[in-house]
Amino acid sequence: MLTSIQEDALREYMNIFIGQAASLLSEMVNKKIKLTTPNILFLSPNKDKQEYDSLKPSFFNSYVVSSSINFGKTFSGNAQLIFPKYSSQTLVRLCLGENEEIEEDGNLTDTDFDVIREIGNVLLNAVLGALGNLLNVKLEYTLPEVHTFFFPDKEKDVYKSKETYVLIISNSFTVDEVKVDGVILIVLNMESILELIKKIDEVLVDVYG
Amino acid sequence: MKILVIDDSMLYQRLNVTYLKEYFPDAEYCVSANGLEGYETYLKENPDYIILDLLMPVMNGVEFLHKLKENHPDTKTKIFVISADVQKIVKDEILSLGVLKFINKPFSVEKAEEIATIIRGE
Repeated sequence: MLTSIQEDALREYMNIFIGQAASLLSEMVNKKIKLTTPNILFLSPNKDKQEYDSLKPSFFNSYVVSSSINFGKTFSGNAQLIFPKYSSQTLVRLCLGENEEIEEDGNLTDTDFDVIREIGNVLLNAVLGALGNLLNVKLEYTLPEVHTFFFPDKEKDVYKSKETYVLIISNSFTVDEVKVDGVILIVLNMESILELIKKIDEVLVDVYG
Repeated sequence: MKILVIDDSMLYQRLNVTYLKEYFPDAEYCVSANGLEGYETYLKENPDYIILDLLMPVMNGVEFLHKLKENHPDTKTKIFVISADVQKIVKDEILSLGVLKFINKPFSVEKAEEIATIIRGE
């Protein structure tokens, strides 16, 4: 779908946006966050199934917590912040400054859902808003929704149609020596992809001439 | 002084009040969970300041601002918007509706200090 130069430019922008999102997360948990370089996948999970299956994050085979929003009019899609369930509870404890141990099969409380929703709100807005600024379009969002589920059961619903492309930004970061894996998943339809590619090309023309 | 916090997140209702209390411990605080509830509280409590989120159910922050401007164009209540939305277009739109300041989430003690400085300067 993308040339190597386009992919490189997209990767670079996503790195910047994730860095900004991580900075906001650091403020929320009031701790330094050590980031790894994000892995970025841009493909159609339905058309490129083998590639998707071999490269998708390992915790996509387990219970996850997802905070998701729909966005846009001209540039539209769905964005989800997905954590393994245990990691989401770790983040909530860090946000609230609590030290109690997390029960392995513990249910999420109302407070957990509220905090995760807010974490999703801040981080997804950081990435999507930055995309909106880059594309010079105003994105309108739905209210974030938080769900917990076994990802393989819902995987097909996430990607919907054959025409869907997905941008998967997966990242590990460390807070207080605790490793947290997370993924931002942005599902786009063809019209939105073309809009994004058009903008990347404009930037490339400015840079490369 | 009376401060109304309008945010659908219980976490943010609590955060806003806790941090602002560092600077205004004697102020009276009230909270509402959406724009409609916030408007009803505004009518009842006549707050000096409102801390307003944008993305909320029932009535969002923009709708609240328009309703306030339409029905109470001469209100003395001043408004700070605190939002996760980082889009420049949105910030410009909100500022054009006459809010005192647009602050990005996450909220912090430092950002509460910013608000306190503006309020004290008034």
